[in-house]
Amino acid sequence: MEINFLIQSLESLLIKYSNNKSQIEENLHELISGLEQKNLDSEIEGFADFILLASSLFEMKAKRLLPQDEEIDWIDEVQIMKDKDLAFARLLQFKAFSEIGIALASRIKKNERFLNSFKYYQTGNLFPKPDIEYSIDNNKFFETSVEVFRRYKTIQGFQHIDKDLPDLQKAIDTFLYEVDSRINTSFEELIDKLNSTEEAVAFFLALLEAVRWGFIKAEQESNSINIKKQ
Amino acid sequence: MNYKKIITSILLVSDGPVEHSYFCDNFEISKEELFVYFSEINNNLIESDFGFKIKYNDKNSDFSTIDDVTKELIDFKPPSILRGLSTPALETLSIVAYEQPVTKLKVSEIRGVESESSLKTLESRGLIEKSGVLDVPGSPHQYSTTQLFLEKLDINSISELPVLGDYFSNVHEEE
Repeated sequence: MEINFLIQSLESLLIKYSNNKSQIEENLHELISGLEQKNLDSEIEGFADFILLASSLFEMKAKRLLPQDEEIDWIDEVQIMKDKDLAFARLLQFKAFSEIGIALASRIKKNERFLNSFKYYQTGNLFPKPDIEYSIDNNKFFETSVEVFRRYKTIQGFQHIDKDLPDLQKAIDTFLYEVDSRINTSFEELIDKLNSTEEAVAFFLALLEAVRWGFIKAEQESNSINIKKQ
Repeated sequence: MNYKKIITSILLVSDGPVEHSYFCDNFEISKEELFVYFSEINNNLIESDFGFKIKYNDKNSDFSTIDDVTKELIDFKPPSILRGLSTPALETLSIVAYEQPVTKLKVSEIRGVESESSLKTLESRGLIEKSGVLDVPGSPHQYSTTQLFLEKLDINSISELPVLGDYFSNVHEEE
């Protein structure tokens, strides 16, 4: 965002005299043509602040065009002056914080040239703390675990927990025996005789392990995996 | 007692900068004497061409690399904490720094736009943290800067930030 352009535009809006519709339209066209030359898509967040301020100023100017009573309502006048003051104060505040942010970044960058000796705590607060913290002791942990084990059986998707895990070493041995008996084969052929998805998973893991250890070579062509003994 | 040995060994193993009061209280030396030791150790290190020194201020001390080796350390430097921080995030950081403890709503009011993502980014970098809740309906979180922020700026407390003037802090109270 080109901060100087925005500041200058707002300053000129505050200062420029406009007491009729055509002058306000002229101010508006001038502003819009200035904005059209900027890249609004990438800086929309920054420009949103600016447009809010600019529209507030135009609103104040437009209010001045409404029929005025002959007697000046000083309360309104004072309110308008306060609005102007507030808008200008916001503008200054916006500019100040933007520039301070850049100044802080510059100072941090300068200090990062030096490295302190590594200390654990420097990374300790890089992770946001959770919104909820729950302390737990041995008894609470025991109660919670009992509750979890009592409830999981009633939840769909946990039935496999009670089943014995397939023995991977046994699966590798069986797998290699099958490969030996056929020399060159395909994964589809090997799993053809299996009875359950668990066995298929164990076989697949065995295939990966056997490839990793260099016992066999597996190549995937289109939909099938061809296996060759090394 | 060889204070130079003690000071350097404690700084080597300490978990972060060591406050001067630790040395003064435990080894019965004054702050002025401590600064003399720091200065002597640094002179010894410079004379022996070492690439580090004791960096100290009014509050604490720690080992730090020296300026001469900055380029050579480039492969060892952790990514800058500023990497990828946008201008709006820096603007948010300056608001939190000067207005802390501050709620998300107040930051958004000052900036005129929603600031949640900027606050989350700064929090994930460890530059700000939730420091409490405001005692109003909804109990919004309040954000403050962290110790890491102070260290990155090489200051001891937020009171050492440059003074902005009362004018900016009072804008919203006037509303």
